[in-house]
Amino acid sequence: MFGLTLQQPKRWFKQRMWQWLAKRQPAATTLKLQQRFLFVFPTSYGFSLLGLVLLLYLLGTNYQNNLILLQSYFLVGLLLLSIILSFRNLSGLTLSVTAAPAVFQGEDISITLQLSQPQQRQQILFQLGDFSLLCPQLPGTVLLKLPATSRGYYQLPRIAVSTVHPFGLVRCWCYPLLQQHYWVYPKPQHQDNYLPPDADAGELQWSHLSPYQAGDPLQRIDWKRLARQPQQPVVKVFSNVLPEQQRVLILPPLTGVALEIALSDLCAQIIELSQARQPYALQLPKQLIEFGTGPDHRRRCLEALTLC
Amino acid sequence: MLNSPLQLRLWLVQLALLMLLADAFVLWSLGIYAMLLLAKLPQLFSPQPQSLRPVWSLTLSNVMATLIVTALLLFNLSGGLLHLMIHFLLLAAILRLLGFRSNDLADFRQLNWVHYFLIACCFILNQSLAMALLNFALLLLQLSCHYLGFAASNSRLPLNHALKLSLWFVPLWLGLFLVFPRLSPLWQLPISQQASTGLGDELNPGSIEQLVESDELAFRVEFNGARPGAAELYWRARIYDQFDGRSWRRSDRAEPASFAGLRAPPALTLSYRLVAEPHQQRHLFSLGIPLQVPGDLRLNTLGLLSTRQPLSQRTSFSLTSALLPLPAEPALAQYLALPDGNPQTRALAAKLANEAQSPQALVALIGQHLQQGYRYTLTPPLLTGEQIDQFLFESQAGFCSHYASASSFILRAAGVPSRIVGGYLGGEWRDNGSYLQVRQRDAHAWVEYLQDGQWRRFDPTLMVEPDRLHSTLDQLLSAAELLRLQGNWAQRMDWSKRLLQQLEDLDYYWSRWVLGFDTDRQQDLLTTLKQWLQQLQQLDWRFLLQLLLLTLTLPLLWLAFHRWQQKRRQPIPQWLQQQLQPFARKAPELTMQQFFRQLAELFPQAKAEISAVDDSYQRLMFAEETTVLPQLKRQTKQLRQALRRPT
Repeated sequence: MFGLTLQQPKRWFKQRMWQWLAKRQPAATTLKLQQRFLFVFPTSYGFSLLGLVLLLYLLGTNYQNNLILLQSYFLVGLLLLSIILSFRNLSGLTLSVTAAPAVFQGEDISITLQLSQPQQRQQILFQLGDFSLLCPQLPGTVLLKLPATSRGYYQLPRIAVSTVHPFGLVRCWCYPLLQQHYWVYPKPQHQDNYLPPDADAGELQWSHLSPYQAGDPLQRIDWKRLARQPQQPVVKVFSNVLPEQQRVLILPPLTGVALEIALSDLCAQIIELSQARQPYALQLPKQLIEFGTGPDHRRRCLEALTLC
Repeated sequence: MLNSPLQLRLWLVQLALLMLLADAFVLWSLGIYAMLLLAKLPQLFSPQPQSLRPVWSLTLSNVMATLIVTALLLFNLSGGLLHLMIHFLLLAAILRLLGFRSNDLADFRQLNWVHYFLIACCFILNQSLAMALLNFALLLLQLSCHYLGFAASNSRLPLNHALKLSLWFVPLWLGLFLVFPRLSPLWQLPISQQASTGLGDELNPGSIEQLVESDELAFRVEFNGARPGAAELYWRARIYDQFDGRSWRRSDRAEPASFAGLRAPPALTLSYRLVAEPHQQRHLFSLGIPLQVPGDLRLNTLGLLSTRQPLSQRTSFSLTSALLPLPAEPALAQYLALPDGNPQTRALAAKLANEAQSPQALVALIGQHLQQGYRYTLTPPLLTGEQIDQFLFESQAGFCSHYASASSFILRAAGVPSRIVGGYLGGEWRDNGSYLQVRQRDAHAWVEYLQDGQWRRFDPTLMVEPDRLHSTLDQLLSAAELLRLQGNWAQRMDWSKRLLQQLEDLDYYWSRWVLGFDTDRQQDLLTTLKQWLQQLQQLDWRFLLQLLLLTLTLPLLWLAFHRWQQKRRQPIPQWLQQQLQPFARKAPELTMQQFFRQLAELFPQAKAEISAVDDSYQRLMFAEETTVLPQLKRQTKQLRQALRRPT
């Protein structure tokens, strides 16, 4: 009737919940946790303490003992207090995420979550997929890791932020969705019959220094100079002694596993060529990227590969 | 997290629990539990790091648990179910702490739960003010354990924060207590079984003397309306009607009865609230004939009140009594039965019966007889053989039970049904007469005899010592006898005596208002609140407006104060940035020095002031010359003026 079988009510429920959440909290670049996004519910321990409260109420009633009743109400108060305290532990926390670096398939994406904390917060648990991180004291930034299992262009999934502080009786949580996309490029891997194009080309030689551009490999930064001039990082540029070859990388029209293998191969070649600062072009079944060099060109090629 | 300081705290909670629950333990189990607690100490103070410390294995704990539980079941069955449960729970808690692994939060949760429950059990056993305060302190200690168990490993208790929270937590808590609906007991629970105190089932010559040596509290009473006179304060508790030549026993033949239909003139009706101390027996105390009794009490034809279960905790009852003689029950033969013996007394009885026309006259004659040469003493000579004869004709010295016993014997021998009543006489008016405090020392025995189908009271002790009615026992006894009573050093000193009395008063009001708070009182409170609200509605709108303004102003004032405080505490860099914000905003990546340089470029006219501020700032922040602070503030003010100047 609903396009469901009876084995799937849980999944159906979850789906509805995500839909509801998408309406309630669409992706935002910065998110201040407010009452609108925060959920509060007793933990199982909270319920067991509620059981104790009932037990004490019965005990106090049957013994006509006001002191036991007082203790029972004390624990009720503790439960109510926990609701407010755990809510306050999250409420007002502002989350934002810095640009996630692109990664290759099979690596972990590191997502840096920026937190601004007007008050002291404790024991906050961040969960992203299977990764979880408990912060006893809240730092300014939190590094979350997400495994990149398949290539593509993704929106950062909802993070689960929760806390049971201070008494473990009540959990306050939310699923913030932050506006941030990230690329998972194909895994760079040469095909088995691959021979490096410049296997006998000899070593790369240092040629000159040039200003750092985003995307330059970090190991080429001139660290000594950086210490002297922190505002102006420079990179060492190596040039190949061999005359520059112009290469056209071609992706044949494939599907399935063969496509993935070809993509991995092309990816590996692009990395090598761009490291050697050789111009290259990329011919895809539906797209042609002209000759070029530099990080922008590399990025364009890798993104085009990713979306194949 | 579950580090060593937390474990020490939990250990302290268990130690305190063992001490507060000690009444539920017998000597050997107390010893075993204390040993188990001691076994935790090497773990707590081991020099090894937390993870390497040896803890008790599960097997060891299980073996110990099995052994101790078996021993408890075999030897402690007399302690009752409640005591057994306390034993089990505390054993489980101690063993759990002994096998505590520092990374196991599930263990901690269960332990925490059981501790809360055991603290509630302490309230069953101890209810006096001092003990209750100790218990609540223990509850707070346990709460701190609960907090630390869920906090980061090195965190401390946020005491300031907790104090602020308690400002509204306590009203919420007490409000719940005052307003939340209360139920009457749903079912019977096992009670704490301890040795009983007070009057027993048997009255021997000497049993009252033993009671009188105790300074313990028996019960306390507060009268609604007029206080009865001293001659009416005969608190009836037990009736002894079977005499075997040596001691008086009570027969169990009393049928339930109700005297609610009795018409009593208002002048002879008393309504009062009685707070009884736990004496582990069923009998209660009342004056005259109880008319209205709470539903959970039983009243019998003897006019005596009893509870359904032995009184094991301090309990309060509201009663109404009529100061009238009790109507006689149909079967009276038992009140004439006497064992053989005591010929001299029988002869005296026959002689007095010949002279007297009525039971009342006979009683008067007995009184006259007792006024001749009899002595009232706490230490009478030991009686052997024909006890009544020996007392009346040889020793002629005794305490109330001797006189009651002899009088009742004479009355029965002369054919007048009579019985002995055990109870308390008088008491001490406390706190300017607001309540009457009755101690075991006030224990007393007197006689009831039948005349015209009604039981009349006759107190033979008053014939010997008429002052007994109006003065306390202490004033009547000789110095040597008094010394015997006052074993307690604290009572000998005047200041400590006064302090003790004040503490006793405090304890009484604690019982009255906290322990004795029940459905009736709750109704009263709610009615009062309702009346208040109604009165509020009839009030003038101007008054309401004032009230509203006041309630609005107070939080605003508080908020303003809070802001001001926050501002005062604001760190210097933020303050400086705020001051300069109207002119230039500091980018977060810039240092203050760079910011000043930027500022100087933007406002060349204020270069001098900027460098002055820069200099003071550097001295304050990096050389930590706190004395520069006023200078910095002044310079900042000048700088702001300079920045406002046109270029």
